[in-house]
Amino acid sequence: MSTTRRDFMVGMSAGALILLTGAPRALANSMTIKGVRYGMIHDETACIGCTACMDACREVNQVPAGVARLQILRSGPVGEYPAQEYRFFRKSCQHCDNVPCVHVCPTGASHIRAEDGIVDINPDLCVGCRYCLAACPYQVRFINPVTRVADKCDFCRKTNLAVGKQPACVEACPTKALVFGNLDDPNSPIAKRLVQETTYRYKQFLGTSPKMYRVPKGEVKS
Amino acid sequence: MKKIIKWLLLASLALGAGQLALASAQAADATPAAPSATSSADQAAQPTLAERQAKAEKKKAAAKKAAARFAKCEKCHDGEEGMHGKHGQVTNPNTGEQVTCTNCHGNASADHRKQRGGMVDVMRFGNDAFPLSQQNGVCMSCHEPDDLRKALWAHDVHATRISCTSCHQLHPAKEPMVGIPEKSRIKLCVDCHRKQHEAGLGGAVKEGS
Amino acid sequence: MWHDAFHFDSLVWDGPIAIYLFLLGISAGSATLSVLLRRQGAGSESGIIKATALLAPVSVILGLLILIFHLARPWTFWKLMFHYQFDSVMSMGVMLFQVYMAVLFAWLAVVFRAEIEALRRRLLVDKFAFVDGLIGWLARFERLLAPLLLLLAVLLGAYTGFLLSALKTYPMLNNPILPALFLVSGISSGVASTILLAVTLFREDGHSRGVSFVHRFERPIVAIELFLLLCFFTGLYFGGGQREAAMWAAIGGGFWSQVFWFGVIGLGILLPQLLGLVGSPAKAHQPARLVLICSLSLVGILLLRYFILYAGQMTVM
Repeated sequence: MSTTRRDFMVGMSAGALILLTGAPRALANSMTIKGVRYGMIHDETACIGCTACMDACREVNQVPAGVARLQILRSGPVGEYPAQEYRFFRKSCQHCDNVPCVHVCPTGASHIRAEDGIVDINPDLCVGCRYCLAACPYQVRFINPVTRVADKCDFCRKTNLAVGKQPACVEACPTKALVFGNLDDPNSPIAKRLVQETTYRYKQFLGTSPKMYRVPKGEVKS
Repeated sequence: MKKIIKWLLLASLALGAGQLALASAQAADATPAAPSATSSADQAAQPTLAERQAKAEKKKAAAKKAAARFAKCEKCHDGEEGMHGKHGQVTNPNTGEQVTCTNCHGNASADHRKQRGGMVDVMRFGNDAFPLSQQNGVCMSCHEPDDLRKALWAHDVHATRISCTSCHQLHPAKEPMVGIPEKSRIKLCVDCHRKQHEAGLGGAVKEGS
Repeated sequence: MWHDAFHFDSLVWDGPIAIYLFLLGISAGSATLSVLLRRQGAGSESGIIKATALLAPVSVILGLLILIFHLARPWTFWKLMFHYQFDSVMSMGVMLFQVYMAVLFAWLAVVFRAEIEALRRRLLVDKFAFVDGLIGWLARFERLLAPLLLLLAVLLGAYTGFLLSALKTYPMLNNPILPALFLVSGISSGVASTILLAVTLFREDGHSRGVSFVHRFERPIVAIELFLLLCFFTGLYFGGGQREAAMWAAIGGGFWSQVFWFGVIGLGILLPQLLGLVGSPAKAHQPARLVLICSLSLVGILLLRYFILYAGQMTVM
């Protein structure tokens, strides 16, 4: 098969131009989505384990008893009395950028929102197959006993965020251990803190790119 | 060839059966050992507050003295300063008698009201007049850290930092912390720590601070 | 002990899923073997192919029904067929099912063309006569349908393995061996179930061409299965960390370890092989003996599904 140099160049340029304009769907796996990517920091050095965040979340989002969107796991005590230390770990949706629960959902009910990077659930499409519950390595999803669909923390998208407030847990925290904001805005409080402080993300080795950052207290529990 | 395979399979089955027998024999050996181990461990552990109180009950022969002591304070401090709560009924394991005002507040002299500097020989709780270790030391003469931890983990990190009376009130009939609903408990933590955080005092202990 | 083995925090998919995996294996396995047998010239007179005509559609439909009622919202199951996600193994499986069932029914109709026509004539006389024509038209494509069904059946057999191996949460399930293991195990269950049904329900002789053909797959398939299990657990051991922990938790001791060693290996593989070797060759193909051996095999394969599913979910990454 032979071609002229001119035809070759034309063909290559046309091909490159076409391939550069990728499908918008691919953005779900990329870093920046329309300039807003909500994330959160849980400062384990400031957290006192009062569980006010758990209570606020349950109340604001009307989470039924027996299941939880947010849990604070207490470990310890470490050390001898009276110099004892406890450690508090926040267990809630990590809002991953490379989302396992979205990849496995057969109907597309579990999706990552292009406008703000929040991983959310469309209750109309969810059939309750529980594949996402099994796929989440952080084990933060549950079947809501009332609606019978998959449920989890959504950064209060439908409640507080919808009326311009911070998520319920952030507002309830007495020691401001929770910081919420746009990771892609370099002037936001959360972005500034991420630059200044050492943080870790849970199970980062799995490649899920979680947007929940943690300021470690003591040993980094990756 | 088939015979070799046949005998190999029979041998492996026999091996498997043997392993099963061995495993169940080991399990049978392990289980009787467990209960005896835990009971000896219990005896070695410190007696709980309840156990010490029960022991002290037996020493309650000369309990008449307690009533007399109470009466002295009650001459002036009647009404709400009286001990209407549980502490008025329980036995002090250190004395073997009923808990009295002086057990916690110390032996005040007859004219303690007129003292210079204001009542220096009466223990007062919840204010800076007395060092924290002394105030909390009174409570912890009966209430041990292990028991406190079992009641609520947060005792561990507060016992040496704030006075017990920051949360507990012993004089009223119902102690507000007993059976406190979860929402009220959270409010208690939040109110104090929010004020503390806003004042820049720092709630939890930061690494290296 | 029983309660803790079947109820633990990290468990998401429970018993009904294990049964569904088992049934799918039977369907895929029996379909694969029947296509290969038909290539040898066998037709609707073969007990094996008659068994497949019953087993393949019934087991896949039964499996799907179990799955539908296992959903948290069973009556929304139809949404699975109207919304597809190309990176979801489950969604691709839904597509695969539909194509597989269509091709399966088409192929079975072609193989049993004469019987269907006779039955229709007897029951319906002149009604639905177009069906004869339709099957006749399909028969022209049998040379295309057969390899297509073979491919789809193999994909279906492997699909259940891919479904579980997509879960990063569980190191024991997130394993490349799983699709191969489930395919081979599925074919093994196809061998056992077709022989079982052929010699009982369809009263086929144990020495028939069909039964002998299918039976010849037995030993190599079992050997491959054992080898894959070896690769599976060795791979977990070499993986270290949570993978190694998952391996020890699964086969190192406890309820599921016993299910594996005594159920899957002992009852499902060793005992049938032993029974096949012991005894006189004259009585080797007696129906009663074949039924016993095939049943033991099937029990072992069902236990393998339960074991992989439950023990696999015990350890989290």
